[in-house]
Amino acid sequence: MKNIYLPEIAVIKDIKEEAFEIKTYVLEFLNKETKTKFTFNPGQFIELSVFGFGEAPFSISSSPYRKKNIEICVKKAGSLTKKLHELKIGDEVGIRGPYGNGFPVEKLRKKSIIFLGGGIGVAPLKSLIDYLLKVENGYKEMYILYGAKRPKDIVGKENFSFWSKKAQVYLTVDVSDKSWKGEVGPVTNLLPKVSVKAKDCLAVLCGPPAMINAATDRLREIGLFEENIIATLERYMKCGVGKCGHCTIGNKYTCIDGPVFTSKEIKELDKEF
Amino acid sequence: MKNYILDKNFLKPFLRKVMKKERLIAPIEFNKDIIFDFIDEIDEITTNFTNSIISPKRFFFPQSDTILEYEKTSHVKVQPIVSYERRVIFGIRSCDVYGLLNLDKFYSLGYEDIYYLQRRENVTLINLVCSDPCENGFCIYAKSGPKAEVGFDLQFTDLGDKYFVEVGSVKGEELIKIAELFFSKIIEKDEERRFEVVLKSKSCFSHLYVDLQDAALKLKNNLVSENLWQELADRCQRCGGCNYVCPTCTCFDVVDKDIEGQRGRRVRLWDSCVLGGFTRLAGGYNPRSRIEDRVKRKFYHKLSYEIEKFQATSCVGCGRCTTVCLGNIDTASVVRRIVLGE
Ligand code: SF4
Ligand code: SF4
Ligand code: FES
Repeated sequence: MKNIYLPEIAVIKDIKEEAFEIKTYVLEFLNKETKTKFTFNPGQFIELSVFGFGEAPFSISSSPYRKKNIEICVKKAGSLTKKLHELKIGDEVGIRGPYGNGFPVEKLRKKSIIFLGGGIGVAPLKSLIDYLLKVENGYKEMYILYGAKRPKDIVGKENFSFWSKKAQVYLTVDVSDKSWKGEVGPVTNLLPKVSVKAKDCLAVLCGPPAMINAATDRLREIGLFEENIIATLERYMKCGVGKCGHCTIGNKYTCIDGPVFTSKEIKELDKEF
Repeated sequence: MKNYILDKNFLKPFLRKVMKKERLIAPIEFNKDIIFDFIDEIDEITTNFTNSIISPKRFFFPQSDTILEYEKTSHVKVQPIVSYERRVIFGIRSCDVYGLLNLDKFYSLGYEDIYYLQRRENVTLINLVCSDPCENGFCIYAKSGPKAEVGFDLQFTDLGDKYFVEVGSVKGEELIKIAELFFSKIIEKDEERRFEVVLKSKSCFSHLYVDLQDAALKLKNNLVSENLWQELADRCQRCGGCNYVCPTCTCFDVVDKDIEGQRGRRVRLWDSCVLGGFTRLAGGYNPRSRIEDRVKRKFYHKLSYEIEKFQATSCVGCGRCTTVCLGNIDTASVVRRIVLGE
């Protein structure tokens, strides 16, 4: 019997400062076999061990096409992430996974896609966007709308300029400063820039609950089908394998049935507790 | 499978033989309470008890369980700590046997939990039929007692001067082989006497009817008023006691604890779904911050969701939450109120 709670050791290969208190970690498994065998779908997550500080879930932000290593994006929030922010290149962590359902990539094929991300919510979207850019007929057209609190909170500026060659990219901030020449306001304000055939369009959302709710309402107004609005939900996913109970919503387990749900499913879950 | 008779004078000699081969767990008296514990001295064991205050689930899913040790030297080394010890539990009650059957399904569904399943595989259960039902139990309505129909390896029924022994599995048969000489053949009268003992026990339940199925159905069809949850929320002391004593509660937390220097261990601990921080995220967002929602989900989970998933509620009617709940919102009371349509 496999021990599902046993992490594999991985080494931090690189650390990038992405934004204020947000860093990207490039992680590579020490074990050669694990390194070659590890595969995942965009939208799946790992349980990361910082030994002495426990485990926490993180979405994988790199593309599945990228072999050798994976990336996660980490915001300083609790004691584990605080410790992680102190770690250096060469330090070792533990990884279990990948877990969760991931995004429905087949459903996105040849479709117009609106990506809507807020703050660190761009991490799982990045995995999906990079994947779709590479896969044949992955999409028809792409809009990437992203909002951060302040300009210095924008996660991964160079990703957006890279994506803007293939997709229409719009950024906004809640609070601007002198350096900022772009839009100001919530990310949903960027939706009028999108011109798509609503029936043929899917939206993929990731961000704080309030953003997801607001964006879902607006997308429905412009005519997107509920089953075509897709979002990742944030819950306390302690074990990742449907055992610890922390991530439950009604009779669903976010770690197994999710974390990716359609807005139709979320509407049902909202009635739950 | 076969049945035998074990003269009561042979119980201790039999268990002594068992102890030589496997680790024995049995009920003992501890500060006037009954608990299950590892046995070093055969005379510690008591058979004069109804049931233990905490269910024997802790021998499969301990309150605090080191699941691995790590050492942060030049490379991090991780060592899983899985118990493969062979154990025998003597004196477990039927309700708790059914509790284990529920845990078996939960821990093997989807991802298999090695820590639970290995301990489970290596245990032999000797179930003691309740000839004198416990005060708060309603196993009779949960169809989990006072005598078990499945799940035991051996099942003992007290016939006064001897035990009627039913073999429920190969493991049970093998345990008898350890001390075959102590066991004798049954005669027809023994069967009759056993039947009478169980019948008498069944007539001794003081508990009012607890209709788990009907409550589950009412929950599923949302026939329960919000006022009930509000009242339960007001009464809940948020102590988690109900979860800790319950033979079928499974939620846990995991923490790392340093041992010394660069060594440490990862420990899994019982957790409780009624506690405020149960669903809180590192950033502070808490989807079930309201106690109403937590209490409500607890009962939906134990009753309605479990029927959908496993075709049976996960309440086996042991009555322990009735014993510990300070707010009188134990499962039996809540089920009764749901059924009455309060
Ligand atoms: S609930 Fe039933 S089986 Fe359990 S201890 Fe009480 S009488 Fe025995
Ligand atoms: S809910 Fe209460 S009565 Fe039912 S099995 Fe759990 S502790 Fe026993
Ligand atoms: S994260 Fe433990 S059950 Fe989902």
